[in-house]
Amino acid sequence: MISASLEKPSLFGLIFTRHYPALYNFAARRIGRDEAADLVADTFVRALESRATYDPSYPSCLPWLYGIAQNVIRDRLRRVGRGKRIYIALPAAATEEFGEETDDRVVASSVATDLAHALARLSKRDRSTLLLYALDGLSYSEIALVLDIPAGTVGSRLNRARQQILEAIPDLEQRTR
Amino acid sequence: MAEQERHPVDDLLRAIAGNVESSAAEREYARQKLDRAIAELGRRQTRRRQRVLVWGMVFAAVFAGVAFVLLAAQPSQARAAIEEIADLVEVIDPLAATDTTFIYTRSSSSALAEVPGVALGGITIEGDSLLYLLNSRRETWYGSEGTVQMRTTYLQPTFFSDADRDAYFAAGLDRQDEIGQTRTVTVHLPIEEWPHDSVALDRAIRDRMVTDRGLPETIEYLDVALGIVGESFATPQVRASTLRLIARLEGIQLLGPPSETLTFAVDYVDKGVETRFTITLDRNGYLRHQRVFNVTADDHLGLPPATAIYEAEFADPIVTGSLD
Repeated sequence: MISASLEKPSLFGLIFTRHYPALYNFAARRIGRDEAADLVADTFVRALESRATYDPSYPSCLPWLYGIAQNVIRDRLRRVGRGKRIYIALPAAATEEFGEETDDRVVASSVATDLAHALARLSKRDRSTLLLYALDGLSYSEIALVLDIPAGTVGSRLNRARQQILEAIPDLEQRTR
Repeated sequence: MAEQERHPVDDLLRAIAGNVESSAAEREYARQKLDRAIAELGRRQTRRRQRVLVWGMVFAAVFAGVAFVLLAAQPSQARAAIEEIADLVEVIDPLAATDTTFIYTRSSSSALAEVPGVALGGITIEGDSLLYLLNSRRETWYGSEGTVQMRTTYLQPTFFSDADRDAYFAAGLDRQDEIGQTRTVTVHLPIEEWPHDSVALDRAIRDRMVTDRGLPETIEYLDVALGIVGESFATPQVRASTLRLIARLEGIQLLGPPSETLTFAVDYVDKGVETRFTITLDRNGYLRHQRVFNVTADDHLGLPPATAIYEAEFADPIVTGSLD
């Protein structure tokens, strides 16, 4: 479909229809709901303009779109003077959205701050790998595509990220049990 | 998606982040933006096939280039001036927020907006697109723990003609641009540590550079580096190191004699248009003014020479105890 849209750009609208929900979720978890729709719009516009670079041998274009969204987020944070900061995927309101069970909400509220700090201490590369795997459900090969790294590197980054978080929150398993 | 192994860290992340669903209005907004881009792309493809070489533009570009060479100081002077600021920055006391105070910054900006005629809901305009300058004011409060409050007010746009103004309001773009509205958001952005060592800092800046916009390396490098020295509250050593890295960039020119502020320029070509990017820093290394303007006429957009397509002014950052 992306290849066909090179000649007929209007076909790109079908890519939007299919992948908007996933992209919105991706964006909202990283920069919050307020800016998510605008960021997703910019991601699709940038994807439209660079669709000639897409490798059609991949079964899904979602990892490619995630990669573009990551660049848009980075670009946007920089433009508003937040270039020296990073954002982590834990919107404040999220603890109220993930379930009916009160116990789960309490657990999440108490451990969220520790987790946020632990995530912030990870290297950018390790953090991106962990979030793409845990939150966005990508496979190793899809993460490799998003981050433009060898697939073999994904596993080592993922393990290192998890290990560092467990070291930062040694009682994580007890607190979430 | 692939079948995944379970891990308690992953489970916790999923539980906290949850699933966030878009509203219908947000989806419609994003779709309209894409549709406008698709319409514009189709128009650009047509124009590209029809484009002819405009010798007058080439002449103007050469003339303007010569004029800037004559007016601008030599690159070595720019380097010396920036390094002088770096020496001063290194010894000043940095601003710092506490549990009860915030670092407050304020800026006003004006950016070129382009809406294709087909997206104006039947409103007729003279050219292919409606162009205007979207003006906004942003205030930011940085807390010590990474909490950031941002308040943005969208001001009345600047139009290139009365007809453009009429079309803008008739198409309801003022509602879409939220003119007159103020939005306040609070987010948590943990402070990123930049390396003090200049080699590592250079690498970190290059790691964060955007590379897919077709802009020169110097511009992309400045985009990241100005984030550190501009409104940033990195340590004086990091800010000084960043300035020294900027001083070594290709194509940086010093404009005018040094005073309380220093203005630098980088000239480049963006989509065939001679463009100038200027930056004004104060003696504390803070960004005070930023401007991007086309030196030659932009035939594609129909803009005359010397039109500012982006301009921003930054006030002195201060420490305050108030969030209003």
